Amino acid sequence: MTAFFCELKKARRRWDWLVVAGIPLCVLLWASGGAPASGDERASYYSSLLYVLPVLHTVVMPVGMAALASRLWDAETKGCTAKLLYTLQIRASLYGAKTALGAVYLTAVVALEMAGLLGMGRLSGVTEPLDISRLAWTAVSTLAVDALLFLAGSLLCIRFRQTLLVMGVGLACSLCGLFAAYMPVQFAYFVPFAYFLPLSCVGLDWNFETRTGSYYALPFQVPMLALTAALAALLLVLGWRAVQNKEV
Amino acid sequence: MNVIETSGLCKQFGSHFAVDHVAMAVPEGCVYGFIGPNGAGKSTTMKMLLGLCHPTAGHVQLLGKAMNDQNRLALLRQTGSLIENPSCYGHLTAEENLQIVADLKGVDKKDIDRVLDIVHLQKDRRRKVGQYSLGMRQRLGIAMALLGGPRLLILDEPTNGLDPAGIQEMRALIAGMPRECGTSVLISSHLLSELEQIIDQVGIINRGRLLFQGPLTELQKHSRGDVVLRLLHPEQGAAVLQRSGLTVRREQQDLLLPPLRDARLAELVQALAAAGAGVVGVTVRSCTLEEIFLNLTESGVSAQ
Repeated sequence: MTAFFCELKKARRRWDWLVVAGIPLCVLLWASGGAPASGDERASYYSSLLYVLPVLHTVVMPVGMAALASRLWDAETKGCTAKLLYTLQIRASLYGAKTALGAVYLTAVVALEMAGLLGMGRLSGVTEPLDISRLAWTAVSTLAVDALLFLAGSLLCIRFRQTLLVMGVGLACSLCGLFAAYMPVQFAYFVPFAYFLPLSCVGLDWNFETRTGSYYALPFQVPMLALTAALAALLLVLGWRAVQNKEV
Repeated sequence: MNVIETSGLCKQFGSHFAVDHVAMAVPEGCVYGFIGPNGAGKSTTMKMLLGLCHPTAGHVQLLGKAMNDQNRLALLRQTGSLIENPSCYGHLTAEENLQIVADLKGVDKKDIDRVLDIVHLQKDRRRKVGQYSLGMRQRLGIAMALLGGPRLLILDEPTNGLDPAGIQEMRALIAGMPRECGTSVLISSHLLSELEQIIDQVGIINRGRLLFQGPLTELQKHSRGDVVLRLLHPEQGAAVLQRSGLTVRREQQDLLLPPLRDARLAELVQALAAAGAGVVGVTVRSCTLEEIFLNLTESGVSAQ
């Protein structure tokens, strides 16, 4: 716990919370562009939000998670603190504390986003009843892919100590994710940072003639979620090993 | 007891030995100067002592105990260190930086006042470290190392970036450590002259090999230089000396002889006097420590 409280102390005046608040704000502002204008749209607004969120996540989260991971690790790189910290705490405790703080941030990002989604529904006078299980699935699957991205960002920070590189990779992943969003969903299975798409729980049946769409429920992709969690666990282990073996 | 002892310590990068079978012994209660030119292997050795990089071969003993993964942290918590640049968070104040270190060391926060006093940073304790000069950061690094009253301090070129007054202050602080706090100090520098006023023991390293280790007084014995003879009749004297098998050099009116043992020198003076060379003066030149250091590091001769 000491290591975690030290991480909280290090976070003072670092304004991490701005990034934490900025990510859901960015997603929600983008999503608010499709605010319902008619009664029909209000009748399916939650579904439309749950449909569009994974696409927006695919673009925003790789950069957002790279920013969070690099904020956490950059303080150590800039301050050349590894050679002091590794004489005071076991390496695993530093990595564990940073990952725990990252988990707090990710939970906050997802919680703010889900709260914002409910708020947007209320403000727009949505008439569709909220399916709590779909909201919970979206939250859990978002958290899982966010964790995957955050741990990948952390691993890059530990290995290369270059914030710009990590941000650059995040940006490249965002562009690839955007590309994946326009490809058949099977394509996204090969792009882990776009796993928001196959984990989506709402589909859209688009009628080209009437230019209208109707949303439908997709089955929860539990094996996909398990695969995401397994990849995140693998990255967690790789990050831990990188910290253990890093010579400073 | 030795507070630091290494045996066969090696660090190899590819085919290059950055540290080559170093056997170092730092006695308790001393200030040990670890001297060597840039790139000699000082920092790598110190990092291996602190477990920051893994030795290719060899063993490290700290505070009388063989260091291993199980006891490493317990031993290092009794050790303060400052390796290369000071480690600190620029967005936090000195006090906040020290609080983090105190928490990790398990040291009472009251100790922060003591160490800030020692390094004269009381007035700036609430300023962000990002606004500090390099010298102030260096002093903060020392303060972090001193937290908790460690039994051993490992300082890698701690006077880097300090102004002359700061260097003097730092020297006085380090020199007083064994006496005032019971702390043994291992301090590195690439300049022997910088440390010779404060160290008791010295280790000289070059190209990864420890060339000399022992008391400073022992190193000073190596400082025995040429013997200068002032004679009334140098030509006559030179002939006597050459007959004795010595290589004699002429420097104006003086004759220069290579370093000699006292008994041999006395014999020669007697012979010169008997031959009527007129011995006016005998002076034994001494090399400066810097010259010895250069001789050792340039020749690579081991004088352990």
